[in-house]
Amino acid sequence: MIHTKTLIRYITDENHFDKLIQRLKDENQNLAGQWIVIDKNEAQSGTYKNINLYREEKKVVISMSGSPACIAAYAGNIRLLDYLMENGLLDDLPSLDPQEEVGSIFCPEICCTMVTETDNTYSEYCEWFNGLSPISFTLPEGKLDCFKLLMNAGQKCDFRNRANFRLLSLCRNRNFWEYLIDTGLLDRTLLLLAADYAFRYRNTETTDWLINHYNLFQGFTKRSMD
Amino acid sequence: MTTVNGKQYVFSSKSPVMPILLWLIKNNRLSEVRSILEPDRNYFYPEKADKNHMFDFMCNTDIKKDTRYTAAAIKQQNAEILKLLIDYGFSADILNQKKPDSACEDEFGSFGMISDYIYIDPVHPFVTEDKNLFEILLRSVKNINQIYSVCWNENGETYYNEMSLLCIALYFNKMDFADILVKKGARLEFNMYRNILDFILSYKNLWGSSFTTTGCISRDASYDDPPEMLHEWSPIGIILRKGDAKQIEWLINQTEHNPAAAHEVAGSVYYLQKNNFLLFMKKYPEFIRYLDWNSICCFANEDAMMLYLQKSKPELEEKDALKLLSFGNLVFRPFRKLYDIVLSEKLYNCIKLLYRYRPDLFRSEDVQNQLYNIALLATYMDFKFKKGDTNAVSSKLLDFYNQISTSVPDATVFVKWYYGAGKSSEQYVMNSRDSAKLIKMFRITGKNVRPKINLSETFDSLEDLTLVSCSELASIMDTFQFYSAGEFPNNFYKLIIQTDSISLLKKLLAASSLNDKELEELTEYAIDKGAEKLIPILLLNKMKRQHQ
Repeated sequence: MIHTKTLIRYITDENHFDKLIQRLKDENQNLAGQWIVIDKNEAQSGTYKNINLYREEKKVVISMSGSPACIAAYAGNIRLLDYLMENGLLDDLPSLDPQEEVGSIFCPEICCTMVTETDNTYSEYCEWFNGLSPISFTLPEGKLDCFKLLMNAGQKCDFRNRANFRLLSLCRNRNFWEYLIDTGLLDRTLLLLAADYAFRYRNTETTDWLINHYNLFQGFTKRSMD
Repeated sequence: MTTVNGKQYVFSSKSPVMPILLWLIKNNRLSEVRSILEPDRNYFYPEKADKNHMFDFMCNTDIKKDTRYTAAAIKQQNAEILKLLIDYGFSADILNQKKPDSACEDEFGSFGMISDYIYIDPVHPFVTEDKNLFEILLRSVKNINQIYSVCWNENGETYYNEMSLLCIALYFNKMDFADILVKKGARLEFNMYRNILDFILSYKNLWGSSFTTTGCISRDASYDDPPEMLHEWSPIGIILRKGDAKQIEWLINQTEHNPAAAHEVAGSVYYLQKNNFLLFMKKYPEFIRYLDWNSICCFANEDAMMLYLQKSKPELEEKDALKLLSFGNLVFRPFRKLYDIVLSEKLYNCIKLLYRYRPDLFRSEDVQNQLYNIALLATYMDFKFKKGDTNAVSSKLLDFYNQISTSVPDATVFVKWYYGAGKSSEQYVMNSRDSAKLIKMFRITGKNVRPKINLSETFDSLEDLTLVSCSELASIMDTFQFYSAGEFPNNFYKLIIQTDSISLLKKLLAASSLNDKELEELTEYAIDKGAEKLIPILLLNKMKRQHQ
């Protein structure tokens, strides 16, 4: 039996793909029905080196739960995603035990926690993004290759779904933005709102870039906010 | 206190703002605000609340629930942007919530005891003074007659009330807003407020009905509603209590085509005091014919009574006099009102008016007794709340009673109230020394007679016998003469036995003429209770009687 933490390390690192497959084979185990949880403490403490869950300079922590496909999509592990697709495990979720209570329903989700600290005080604010599909997990880190792979496999990423749109606002990868805009997947009229959400999620560099690059409006600077 | 990494955890109840939207509002950039709001409304799928997520209720991710955007537009006095935001579903505060000075915010961001109330600024109770903005803000109010739990400071006192927007506008003199509210359909008539509903309907299962969601039921006051509680804070009640001539004129104009409101005005004119009442009736004489004896008595409005007696010349009977002098109805009132009616001479003046009109009604023993007990109540209130007042209403009431009395007074009603409802209420409680002193004040000076009390009735509802001290018991025996037709031994005798005090027992035996059977029963009770000191005395008494 592969230990959960080890399993997460394998899932989040493309270089460990072969090792993962071998271990699964050795242990007579597979990834079907697996449910992965990365909690806030693990995210903040950097337990998993190959997945970016803590934006330290902005004090933004991203925790999540989902199937191996979801976690692999977030981490950008294209090899594993490809494998899961081939094995029909892309939309795999653990089956519900009818004996289980309602609270144990498996629902892929991402939680974005924004921490505010002063010398003496600590506070935090969380937003949950629920009911996500694996492709939604590519958005916060802008994993373009995984996104394209999943799109080609027939997965849809509809930005009329507000959770997808808000997760995109966490994205700092400009190539990803440009790809979405150039391909028409993201309507240009949404950019001002996207820039605003990006600022809300402390992704201020993206806000500036969107406003200036796409000439959204004049007169706004970060300094003018004060 | 919760700490994280050695730092104090601070609960944050507000989500981060959409800073660009806020900046655009603050810079009056209407078209850009529109370009953010337009896709926000039309582009996205409606959000499905995830019912399985137990924490969803804790996070306010819908930016429209945040009132900071509309607040910014109000601050900018930008009606266009405010209208746009409200039309797009953004929430807005209409009441100007003020942080109380002395309040201490806890870690969850609430203000202790008054957390359910919106603490408003009495000078600026609404977030704007601009009529246009106010009218736009009303679009965000789902039900114009919604009731808000508000509190404010006035003359050093904090008032807590449930008020509609119209009530607030009228109470705080925002007549322009009152005009708008009435035009938009705000009820001038009384609404069934939540706390009154709780009070009246607590036995009926009405939870889940419309009032729990809207905070009000649009219904007129009915006969069963306690009139004292109903109208006072209704828009009409507020105007009449304030007595401002301009507001009254406004009210009368508003009621011209509103018979329900006119009816309520007719039933609430008693809130007008002194000159205001007479000026009102002079200006609007059509209301004189609605004056009603029951309401006059309930409000103890002497001007209304004078006018009613003059104009209607009613044929009053003993029961009408008792309506005014009903001790039970009087003490049923909340403390503040009881204090106001008893000690402000209102009631005394009404009694004198009635006496001048129909002195014969005061020949009734029942009427005299109610008057006597009210005089005792006033004596008690003077003693407890206005110590040292030489011009006390209680003396006037007692003097008047002495003037008209034709029989031995019966203090049962007051004493029963005092040792029942009075003693069990924090408001009325007095220490035993003062209680004993008070009882001694009930002796009738200049007359060789002691007031009566019915022993079994007086103490029959007293559950906690420790509420009566030995000195009080001694005072009661020194002051009153007893009569009783109830069960023996009644609570009073039991009280004495339980004190195991020889002097009290001697007083009791002297004050009451117990027959042999009663003495035997009392002795048995003493034995049963183990009143060691009293048993020999009682047995001795019994033996003496046997030898006689």
